[in-house]
This record gives sequence, structure tokens and C-alpha cells, in this order.
Amino acid sequence: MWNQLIIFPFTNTLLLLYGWLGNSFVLSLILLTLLIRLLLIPLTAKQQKSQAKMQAMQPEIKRVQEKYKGEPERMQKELKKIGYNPASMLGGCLPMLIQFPILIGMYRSILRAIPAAPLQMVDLYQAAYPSWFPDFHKMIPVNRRFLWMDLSQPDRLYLPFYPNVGIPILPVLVYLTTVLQQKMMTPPTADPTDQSAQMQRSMMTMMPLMFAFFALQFSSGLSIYFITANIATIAQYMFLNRERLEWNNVKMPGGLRLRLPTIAAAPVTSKVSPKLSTAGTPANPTPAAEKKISRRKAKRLRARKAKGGSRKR
Amino acid sequence: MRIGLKSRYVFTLLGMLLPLLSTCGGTLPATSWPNATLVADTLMVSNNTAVYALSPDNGTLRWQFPREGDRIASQLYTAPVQYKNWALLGSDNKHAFAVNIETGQEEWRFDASGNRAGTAPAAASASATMLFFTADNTLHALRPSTGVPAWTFQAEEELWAAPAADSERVYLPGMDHRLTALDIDSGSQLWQQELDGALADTPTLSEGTLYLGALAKHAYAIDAATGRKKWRVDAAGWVWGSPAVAGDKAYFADLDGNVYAVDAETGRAHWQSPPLDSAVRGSPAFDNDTVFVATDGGFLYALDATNGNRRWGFQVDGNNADRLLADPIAADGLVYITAMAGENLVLAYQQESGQLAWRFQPEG
Repeated sequence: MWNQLIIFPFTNTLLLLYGWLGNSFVLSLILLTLLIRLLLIPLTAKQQKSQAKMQAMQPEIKRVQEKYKGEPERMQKELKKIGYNPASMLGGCLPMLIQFPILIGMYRSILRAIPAAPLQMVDLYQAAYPSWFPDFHKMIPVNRRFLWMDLSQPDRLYLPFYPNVGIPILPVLVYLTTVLQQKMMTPPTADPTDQSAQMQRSMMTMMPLMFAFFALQFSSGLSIYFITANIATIAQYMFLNRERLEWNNVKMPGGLRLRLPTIAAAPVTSKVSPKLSTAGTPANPTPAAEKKISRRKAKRLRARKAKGGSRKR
Repeated sequence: MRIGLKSRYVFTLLGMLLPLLSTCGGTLPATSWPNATLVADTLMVSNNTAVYALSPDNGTLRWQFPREGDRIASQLYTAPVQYKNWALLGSDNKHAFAVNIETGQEEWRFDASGNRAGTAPAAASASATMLFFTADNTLHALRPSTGVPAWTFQAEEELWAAPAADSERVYLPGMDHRLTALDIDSGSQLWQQELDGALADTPTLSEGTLYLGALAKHAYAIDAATGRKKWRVDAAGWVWGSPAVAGDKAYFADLDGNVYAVDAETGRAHWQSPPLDSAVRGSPAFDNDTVFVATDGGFLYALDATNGNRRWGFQVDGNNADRLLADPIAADGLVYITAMAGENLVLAYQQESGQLAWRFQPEG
């Protein structure tokens, strides 16, 4: 069941792309990762939009929480009014859950598609769709080398002058891209002592380390998948929220500060209910974002005018 | 970008940690199926990281290498190969071992682990004057007395199988689809024949002809002296195991579960069995006019060598065993098989009736 639903289709698609892309397994892996991300867009886009919305609303939410500390019912009411909906965040967890079977399937498919040992070759023969590969024998052995890497093995770069120690280049890149993705997409918390904020912080520390550990232990093909998926997620997030992005100094692990495009936080208004500010939400963007939007609108209008003009002529 | 004091500490720590982490792991542990060889009165079985020497009559354990508690910490891919009183082993950490067949003591070992990135299975074989050992893309020819390298040969792709050899030449099957003949003393190339698929098993050498399958739907007979192709027979699936030659017939099987008998001289078809339950990876075994084949699904079959009719066939080890991927061995009225998954590692059955003679499972 697991084989038929996930591993065999992934393995065959990897091999099909491998043939089309001039016998480059790394290109095939990157393209399949991008295709998977593309298929997941309907799910991830919703998650990313709700994430961005929450990110922009953080100061406002905090203000409501402080104001109605002793009145939980009223607090919920007011939070609802400003568009805060934790249920939508739950819906946003679905893409995360879907990614785990994909991750496991991808790992097993990579090992199956580039057999490094005889047993994996027997399994590959059984996995390959004969109708897709009438001349399958010509593809064997599948080229699993790329630059210094053997894609079926954990990544280590051995320098000629220091051959006994391998440098794990890809695991470091996996760590860095995961941190970058998290820093850009996770809303800053107003109260660092808050329990959820603490949980979020420990998640943000643990997740990149966990992925880097996977990359260190498992085949470098999996690292290529992680890196491509991270970059694709960042690109998608930036594209979907392009009108609300602002360049900010973001604190990275180790106290390093980087200027990264993040979602602009809404300024905290003095009055809450009933005239709660919803600045920063799609309906009410921040002044910075507003400027961007109006610039785009003006551009669009100019373009339309020019079009209309040429038609008249 | 600003780098503060804390960052400096963290990056220094990372700088110290990375070399430490880089020395951990590096290659994924490989898995393979257990293999067996029958040498005189000893059945030697390689499984994971150990070799067991058993009595072929009753499966009693004589010795195991390495001894309990010791570890060579690496997968043994191929069956042990006999050279005089030694059993030769190749492990996937690029080591060759010579073990005394009588005592199980290590005589010497050869380390070819220079290329760390390689993962190809290592295999060993022997001729009267030279020992052969493959690691990644390289064939090492070693002097038997000392295990010192005499020459090496570099193939374009990985080598998954040990070469066959006679007194003059060594015949090397490669994953680059090429069968190469080399001079046994100097290692210089004599001829090369490009076939349709990758070559993953040691060719069978019989009366000046090399018989082999390929990871393509063909089996071949090649003239050992010239490299000329004598015949090529089509099959329904990949022919991994080299044909077994007995009398004037060659028997082989494919990964689609078909067994074939062809004329060894001309390649003309004699018979083809109806498809078995699953893939046949190994070479068939021949004895007493019977062809024995084992399947990935855990079945062992005895086929009449004259017409391919089934004499008996069943799932071994009380329907427990699975993945019989090694070559079966048939001798002295018994047929031996090693199981990759199941309750027992080695099983011996009566050739005539298919009755279980004995079984062996290492302790622990």
C-alpha cells in the first residue's frame, strides 16, 4: 500500500525526470521537489497567508490580551472582532502533517532509485513501471554522483590534503535554510515570557537542528530535498505576501543580525473595542505596505491608460 | 550584518563541533542477503558481518568469524571463496580477509579503503596463482602467499561481482556493461566486450566459454580466449545470476520468475518453465538431473532438468522464510539455501523429496 501509493510513484517519477534531464539525478530530485511544492500550493498558500496575517496582528492581539486579562469571554469576543482565528491556524497545520509521509517517501524513493547495493537493485527492478521504461536496462547504473557527492550516502566533502575528515556541507546548508525560513515566517512574539512564545522558541531551535541531524545521518539526496523545499517555501512566502514585506533586522542564532524581508507588524492603536485597529491585516495594510500598494495601483492604472490609448489610435 | 560577542562564541563552538560531527557516520550501513559456499566438507555462510562454518551433513557450527565479541563492523556481500586452506572474504569497508578453513583464524587482511566515498559491494575470488578483490571501481590482484598487491585495474563504473579466472586470464564483469579480460600476471587488458546491461554476477567459466547474465533481458555465452559473442538469448526479465552449466545445457533464471534451459554451445532453447511465484535473483543449482531455484518470495523449487516440469516446490521454513536471494547449493543428496528473512539462516532439504534435513540459526 505504502509502496504503491508513495514510494513507487516517486521512484518512477525521479527516474523519468532523470532520463529527461540528461541523466542528472540531482536535477531530477530538485525538479520533483518543486513539483511536489507546486501540488501543495493550495494547502501551503492558505497556511502561509494565515501565518502572515497572524504575524501582522501580533501587537494588536497582545494589546487585547492585556486589556481584557481578567475577562476571558470578552477577550475572545474582541479577538474575534479583529479577525483572530486560531482554528484557521489549525487548518494551517495540515500541510505540515502531509509533509511527513512525503519526506519518508522521498527518502525511501531516493535510496531505491539510486541503488548503491545489490539488494536495492532487486527492489528497484520491482518498483520500476515497465511501461514507463521500455529500455530500463540502459539507465543502469543510475548516476548517483554530483560534484563531490554520492547522493545515496550522507554528505561529506573530503579535501585532498586532509582526507580523514569529511566536511558536512549539505547538513550545514540544511540548517541555515531552515533557520532562514523560520525566521522569515514565524511571527515575533510581544511577550517573551509567554508559554506559547517559549514553546515557539524551543521549536525554532530544535527543528533546524533536527533536520540538520537527519541530513548528517541520511543520504545527501534527502539534504538536496530539504534545501530545495526550504528555498521554494521562502520564495512562495515572499511572493504571496509581497505587498506586506518589509526589510527588518532579524536576530539569528548566535546573536547574528541579518536584514531579511519579514511581514510588517501593525502599529498598536490606543483604542481597542469597538474601534479596534485592524492595521496590518489585508484590509488595512500598514503605512509602509500602503505605499507599496498605491505605487502598484498607480502603475497598473498607467498601464491600463496606455493600453486604452493605443487601442484608440 | 553585525557579529556580536555571543555570535563569536557560537561560531567558535560550531567550528569545533563540525569536525567532530564530520567524523561520525559518513556512509550508510548496507544490507545484503546471506550467501553460502560449499568447500570440501564445510558449508561456509556469510551473513551481515560474520561467517559461519557448518557441517554440511547436520548443520553443526564448527567456527564463526569473527569470534563472538570481536567485530569486523562491516557487511560481507559475497559468499566466501576458497583458496587452498583459506576462505577469502570481502567486506563493504573495503577489506579482504583470508580465514583458515579449519580453524576460523584470520590469516591476513588487506585494506583498500583509500576511496572513502565509494559504497560498492566488495567481492573476492581466486585462481591458482592470484587472489582477486574488488572495491569500488578497482580490481586488486594480490599475491596469495602474502596478500601483497601485484597489480590493479580501474573500471569506469563500480564492480559488484568478483571476476572469474583461469590460468591465463581474469574475466571482470562491470556495472559499466563491459566484460573485460586481463592478463593474469600483468593485469594488461586483452579484450573487452560491451553487453546490453550492467554485469552484477561472476561469470560461469566452462570449457573455454564464459556464461553470464546481465541486468538486461539477456543471457550470453562469450568465448574466453577472444571475447567473441557465441550467443545471446532473450529472457522476459533481467538475468542477474550467471547460468549454471551441466553437460550440454545451460540453465538460468530471470527476475520475472522464469527458468530457462538452453543448449550451451548454440543457445538454442530447450525449455522454459511456467513463471514461478516471484523473482529469481540467483543462479540455479544443478544436481541429479534436477534444477533447483529459489525465489524472492521464499519458495524453493526442484525442476526436472530434461523438460522443466516441477518435481516439488514450497515456501521454505514452514512458510516463515522470505527473500531467498542467494544461489542455492546442491550436493550429496541435499540442497542448501540461505534465507534473508525468517526464523532460520540456513536450511537443508533432501533433493529427492524436499523433506527438511536440518536448519541453522546463529545464537543471538
